[in-house]
Amino acid sequence: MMATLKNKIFTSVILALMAFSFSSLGLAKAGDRIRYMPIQDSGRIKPFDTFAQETLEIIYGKKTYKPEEGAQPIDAHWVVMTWMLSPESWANRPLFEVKYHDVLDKLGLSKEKKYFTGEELFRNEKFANVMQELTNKRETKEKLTPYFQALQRLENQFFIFREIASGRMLHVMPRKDSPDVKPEDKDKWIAVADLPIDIQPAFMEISKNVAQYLGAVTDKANVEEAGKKLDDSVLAFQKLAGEAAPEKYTYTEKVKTEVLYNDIHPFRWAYIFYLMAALSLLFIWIRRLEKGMAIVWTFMALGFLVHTLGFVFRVYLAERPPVSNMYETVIWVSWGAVLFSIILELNYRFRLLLLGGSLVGLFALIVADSAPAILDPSIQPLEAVLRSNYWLIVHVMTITISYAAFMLAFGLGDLGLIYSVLGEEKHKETIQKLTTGVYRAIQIGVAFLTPGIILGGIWADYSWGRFWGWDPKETWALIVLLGYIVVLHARLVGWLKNFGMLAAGVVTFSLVIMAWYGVNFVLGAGLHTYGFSAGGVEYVSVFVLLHIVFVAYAYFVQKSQSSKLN
Amino acid sequence: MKFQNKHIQKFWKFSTSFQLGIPIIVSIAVLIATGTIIEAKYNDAYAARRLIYESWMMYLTMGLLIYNLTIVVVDRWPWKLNHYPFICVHAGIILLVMGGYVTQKYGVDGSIAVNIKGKNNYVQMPQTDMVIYATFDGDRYTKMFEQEVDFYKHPPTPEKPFVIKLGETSVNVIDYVPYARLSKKTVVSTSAQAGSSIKFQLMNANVKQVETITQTRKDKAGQFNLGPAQVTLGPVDHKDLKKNEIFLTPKDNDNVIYTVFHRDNPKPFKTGLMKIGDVVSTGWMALEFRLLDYLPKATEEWDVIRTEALTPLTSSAIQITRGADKHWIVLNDLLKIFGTSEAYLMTYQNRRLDLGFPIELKNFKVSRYQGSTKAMAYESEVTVGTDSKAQSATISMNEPLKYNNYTIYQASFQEDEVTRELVASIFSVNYDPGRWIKYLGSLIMSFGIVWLFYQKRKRKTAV
Repeated sequence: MMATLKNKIFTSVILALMAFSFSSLGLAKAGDRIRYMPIQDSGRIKPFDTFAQETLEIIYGKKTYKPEEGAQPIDAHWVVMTWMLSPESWANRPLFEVKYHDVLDKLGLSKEKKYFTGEELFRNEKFANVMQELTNKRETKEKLTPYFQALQRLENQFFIFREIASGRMLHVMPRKDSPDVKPEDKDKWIAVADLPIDIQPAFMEISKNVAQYLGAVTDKANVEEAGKKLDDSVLAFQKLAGEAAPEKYTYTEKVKTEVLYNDIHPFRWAYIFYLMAALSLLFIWIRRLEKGMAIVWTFMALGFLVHTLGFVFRVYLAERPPVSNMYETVIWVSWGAVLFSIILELNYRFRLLLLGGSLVGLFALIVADSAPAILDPSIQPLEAVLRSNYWLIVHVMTITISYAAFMLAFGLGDLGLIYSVLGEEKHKETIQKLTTGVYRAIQIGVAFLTPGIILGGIWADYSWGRFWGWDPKETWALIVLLGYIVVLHARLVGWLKNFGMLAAGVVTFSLVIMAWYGVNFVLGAGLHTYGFSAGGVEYVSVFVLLHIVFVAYAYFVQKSQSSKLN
Repeated sequence: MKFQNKHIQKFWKFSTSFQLGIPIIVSIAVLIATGTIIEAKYNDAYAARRLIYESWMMYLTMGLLIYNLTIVVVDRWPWKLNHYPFICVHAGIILLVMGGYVTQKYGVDGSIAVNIKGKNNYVQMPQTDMVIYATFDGDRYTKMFEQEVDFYKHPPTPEKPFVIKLGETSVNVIDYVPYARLSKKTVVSTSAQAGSSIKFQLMNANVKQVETITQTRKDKAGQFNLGPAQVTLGPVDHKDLKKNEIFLTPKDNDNVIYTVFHRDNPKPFKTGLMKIGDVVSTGWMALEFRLLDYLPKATEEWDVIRTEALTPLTSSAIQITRGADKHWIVLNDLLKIFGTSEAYLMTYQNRRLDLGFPIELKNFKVSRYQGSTKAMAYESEVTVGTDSKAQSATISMNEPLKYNNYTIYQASFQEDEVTRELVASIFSVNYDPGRWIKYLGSLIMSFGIVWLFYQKRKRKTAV
């Protein structure tokens, strides 16, 4: 009975999602303009849509909010907008993801739950204690353990919770150049809370129209009209905001493209196509069909095209090669693995090479897509060390593309071992083909990794004066190279037969995982670890261990098979 | 190649074989992997370098690698055209490793911090030296001892101390802490030349500050500066400093004489005796001066807490004994100890290398990404050299300056811990005589690899 306006807004949000969950492919419709509003955040200009998704991801761990099991999700931009307009309506919603058990213990909260309300977390009397603990730890300047990293996230959640509500976090308007502006504030945009008096009414208008629009969506009445009104008020505000400093408000095209990128979600489409390619290829392979490869190639080509498109999007948006964090390299490496499998397939026509490629591409993209807390998909400005130097492109891209070839060898090795378990004699020909694939892929990898390491040395010499400094990242790249060189030499002199080669393709990839993921996420030392990265260690270890167990199993099966034959 | 002698032939064959080559490669991989784990464990690249990358094990495996690669290349003699790509790759690796050795042996890789608007021509090197000076009159110091020490690799212990003979007496280094968290403490001294120490509180309605002053030597003034006011422990020596001052002059075992001056007034405002616990009102901003502790003979000592790993707050330290006294010396800090008539100045320090020219920092800037605190670029405006050979340049990340065979790179910077104001720029200074060997090796190897892959297409492969 006491349904407040705020509650009303909330219910309307819930219903609004139904309408908006359809808004998948950038079909701009009434009420959507607000997503395109340029925002200054983390050192770049981004659309409100991206800002809202990233913010929600930090506090909630997902890009959309699900009020309860089975309910339709609410888009991030409505969550963030209503939260700023009426923070109280969110105070009692479980919006904050806290997963780390020790943190929950310290706060005296239930470990059964994953999401908590702002009240539960930040009004908790123990909250100040854990924050003090974090401050103390920081003062020692020691490396933060996972527990403290979890506390750091909690602190970040609290900061966002407070700053969004106060309107201090949303920077919507560039500053006019004037002598009164402090030099360090010159490039800083003005937050909603600090808007000049003459601009404030325009933003108020947006707030009012958001409420009315969401109300209209709830009531299912005059939605179109309310949406139009909201759009007009957003445009009116943008016009005013731009007038202050037009030269700093020139991001319209880029912002539009970014919303489109958010909507299309190209990498998800890419793995869907790779999945279809892999499934149709499996079908053809098992049924031993002569025809049908055209379908496989079509799916593969579509997947690769969308994959490339997503990559191009990121290059355009970030204005740099997107290989600066783990997420971006996973995308790039899977792209390379697919490319190499296509090239090898065109050369050998084994079909299986394409299967290996589509499977590793599919797997890598799903991993990248499903762990945003570990593999951060947001576009961030480059660290100062990496900036303004084309060596980044040359050195990082060559090294990581070699990981792509090794990843392909790994996938093909896995397939080969499966056949080996199924019966080495029976599948002799298939195993031979896969071995060829593994060998070739490793050769490609070594051919890229060697110059990649040397280029890294030249870059390091140029920027730090050290051709080789035993930095863990470069050391592990060298270990990878040594590992695969041992494999190639052992094959050359006949120490590794087909089975050995397949097993080597799988086992040696563990070195790549260490160099690529382990140095940043496990060792966390050296010059290459920019900022904090943590998480996923247990999954990756299990993944590596399972493969080693699988290789051992395949080895014993193969042993017993050959002893039976003799 | 073939040898008549059966045993030589057998050994030669083994030297060219993978039975030797593969274990070597695997050992290198295992060694350097251990190095990265050590670096992560101690958060210290220096530790990994000393324990692994510059250890005898590393030299041995690298030596074996060179041996193996050389024999493999020589074994192909007389070389035919189809041997050349193979030879290029392996000779390239030999050159790379040798270039690395030359760099490590004869190169310079140090760092230099230059204050903004200041200059410096000393590069700090990783090697450490122990240096001891002695004085009999307190003014002139003579160097008594100087030696390179490697306590990291060979830490001294009470049982096996590092002994330094100084005339009749000797100083023993008995402990080494690679990662020490430090704080200062004041301890009672028995030396006749030791100074005094006071602990005091200054308080009014807004301020409540506790500080300690310890004299480094008897009658040598120690000071604490509070901006508009200054506290001095020592004889009254009032110069018109345009600030309020209070002097505390040790009198006997229990009393100090206090003398309060007000700014712009050459005559003392008040003076008298005070004991521990006494309070004097200074007449400046209603501040009261309370003597919390007084030690007539005291010295300041380091308090050392051992930690597991390197952090920006740790430093390495050694502990020395001289007779019954024990003291800590922190890396790049001074320790002064007193004998009956003489005093010693001891340092445990990084070696400093004179560049032969100064680096003058005119300005240092950090630019940031729009609207954020994330650094976009670091830039130092410098002038190096003097007079006609002076050269001005801007050094930034990825844009080093080459001068007199040295290359100067932007490495880091210092800021004031409280105000966050930029204080100094840190450069890495480098001289690498092995550079051309490594580049030549890289070139020959890369050339060989391309050739090798081209060649492999034509012959039967291991596919």
